[in-house]
Amino acid sequence: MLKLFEPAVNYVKELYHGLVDGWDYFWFRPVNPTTLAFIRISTGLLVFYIHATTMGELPNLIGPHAWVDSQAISELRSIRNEFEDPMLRMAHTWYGESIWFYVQDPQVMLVLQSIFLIATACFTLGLCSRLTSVIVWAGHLSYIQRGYVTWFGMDSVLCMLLLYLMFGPTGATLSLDRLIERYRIARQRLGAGLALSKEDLALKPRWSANVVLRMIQIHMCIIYLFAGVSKLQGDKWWSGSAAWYTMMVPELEIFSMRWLGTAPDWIYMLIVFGITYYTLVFEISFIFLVWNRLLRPIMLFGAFALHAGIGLFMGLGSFGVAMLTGCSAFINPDGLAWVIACFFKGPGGWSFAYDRHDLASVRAASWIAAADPYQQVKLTTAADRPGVLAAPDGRTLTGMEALWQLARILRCFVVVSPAAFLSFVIQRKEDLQRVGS
Amino acid sequence: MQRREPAQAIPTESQPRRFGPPLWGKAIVSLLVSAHFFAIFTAVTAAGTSQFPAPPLLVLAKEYLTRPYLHFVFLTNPYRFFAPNPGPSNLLWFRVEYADGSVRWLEAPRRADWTLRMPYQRHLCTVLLFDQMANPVSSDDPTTRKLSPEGKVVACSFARYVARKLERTQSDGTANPVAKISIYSVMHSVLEPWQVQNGWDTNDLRLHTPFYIGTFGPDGVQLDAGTTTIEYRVVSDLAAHMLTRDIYPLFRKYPDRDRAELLAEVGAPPAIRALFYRFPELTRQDEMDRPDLKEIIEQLHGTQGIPADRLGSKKS
Repeated sequence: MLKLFEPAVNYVKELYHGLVDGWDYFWFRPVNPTTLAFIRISTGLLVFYIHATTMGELPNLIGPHAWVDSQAISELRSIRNEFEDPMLRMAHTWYGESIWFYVQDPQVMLVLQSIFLIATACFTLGLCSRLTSVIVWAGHLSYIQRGYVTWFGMDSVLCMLLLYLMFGPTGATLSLDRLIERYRIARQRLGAGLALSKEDLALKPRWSANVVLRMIQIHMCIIYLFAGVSKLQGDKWWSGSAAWYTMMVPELEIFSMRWLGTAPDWIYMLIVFGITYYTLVFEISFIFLVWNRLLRPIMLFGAFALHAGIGLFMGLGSFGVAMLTGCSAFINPDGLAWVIACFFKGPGGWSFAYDRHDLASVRAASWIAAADPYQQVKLTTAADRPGVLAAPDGRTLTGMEALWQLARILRCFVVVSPAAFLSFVIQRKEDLQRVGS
Repeated sequence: MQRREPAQAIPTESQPRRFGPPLWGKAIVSLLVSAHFFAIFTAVTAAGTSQFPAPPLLVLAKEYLTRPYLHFVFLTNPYRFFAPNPGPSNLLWFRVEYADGSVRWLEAPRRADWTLRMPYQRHLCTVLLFDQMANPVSSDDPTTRKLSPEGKVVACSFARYVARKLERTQSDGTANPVAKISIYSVMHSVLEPWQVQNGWDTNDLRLHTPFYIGTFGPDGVQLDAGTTTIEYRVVSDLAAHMLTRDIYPLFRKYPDRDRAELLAEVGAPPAIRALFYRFPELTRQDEMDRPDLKEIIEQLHGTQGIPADRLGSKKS
């Protein structure tokens, strides 16, 4: 009798293991954090642009006498008290928080907003990424909650991205944090007289990067699915004319498409119906097709086309950038790292000599190792000629000459050149002192 | 053709799971992720329309369970971009009356006020989101709408903002405070293809549908507090009132001054200015004195109908 249930039991077991393993693999497989770092940079740039360009409008948007002034905000925050019905009280309860509920002095606001902008710049560059990601999220959220009626779709997407980015290792690569980390590792090993291997500085895959990327991916699918499905309730989307009404909003349009109204019917239908149905098909199918490895590039290109169109014809470029930043969570991190390498990898075969007993020399070598993710410069110990950069053809360079050459071959070196320059200066000074004595 | 193996295979039962945090860590992360996406699910599904109301269970789940979290992290958006149909845009018209009886109109937002796009976008959102705070009283009558309690607070705040922004002093230096502000939420319809064919412009008066919000004092107190609904006003009627009460008296007072300059000074909305540019006869003295101005405006516009050959077009 028990044998009769064996296939069913086996099926349940298999199903259970399949689900658990699949869930485990989907969420917790460590991945290269390059994509996450790219999202950090893109989000940071957008947030910086938004807040830098509206800095002059602070008094009108979130100041004490803004469109929605501080009196109105305090009334809105306590509006639930006007209702006796518990359901209505719940529906009208305010749960948002903002620093601007408490800070209303225009000068203090300006200072705080400037600090927020600096934090956003640091977040974009990947300096103190963990801390700055929290500041940027809190700053943007405060702005939106206080403005009350100043937000649009872009802010919803940005709040989502900033929330998730707080939990991921966003500064694990393409960041100043990573550069400093590489410098520390290199200095520790070179100072101790140990060789610096590729593995010592290798980028480690992180499971937390995968969790954050998955959350962004799922959220993007939800956005597109509900944006697409809800359009099916509208007669203009069914009839194919909806694109006309989105392109012709006078308050938004950048390029006038009014000529379509007088164009022959077939041109009108081709363009307007084409854009309408393309939007519907793309938004509804995104969730189903983007997970397929082969179709993913097509879907991502489709997203680019859609948002480029929205940006061009409706002036919602910043919304498009936010959405495309979200979509970039689907980009393969290894592929992205390869593309970045194409831009940043310079010629190899160089070598730099350092003296491990000389602190300035070790520092200079460590900065070079930190800024050299593609191992273009080989570090060699040579106590007799520290600070000499040898070219593949045997030429030797020192001092400023070597520094300029390094900046040319190591594209990331531009970022660390001030620190490396200091190391060179110190070394030069010590050399001169040695010669003098 | 050989089938390609996936880059990294899913570990089987025989292979121990080596990656990620410890089991308790995975359990906590899984729980938090599931709870978060449940909250997002309620946010996107608990928003209904008049034709398709939201499932009551999800509405309850959102209101009682997830809204505090969603509101706090600002993830309440149901992502219904341009759905169910792309709608018209909105503008706000303010009629500001000063203590000395002079009047100033203001249209917000004016695109020309900003060089950069983002500040303009923020001000435009102010107007668009305010309009969403007004809902039709019944589905049978979309012309009568009611402001939500939040909308009423925001309208009062708008009045205070405009009163502060448009403060005036008289030529002798004494203050000329704002006495009252009337607010109109103006639906600005999108041009239809047949309207483009007939030479309509986006500033055409007929594309504007004003809703009277109320009249407020400079301190934001509603002076006609008895008004509980916001009502549709016939745009030609509002335009006629604007002309007879606020613009023609200026034309009569300064007969030698440039009319366009006077219109700019009084802050006439672009739709009203466009009316004068299209129908210069409206500035003639004999037209100014006619009591049936509303009918005249309608007649002037009525001369431009839909040509019969466009009626069969797919675009119409």
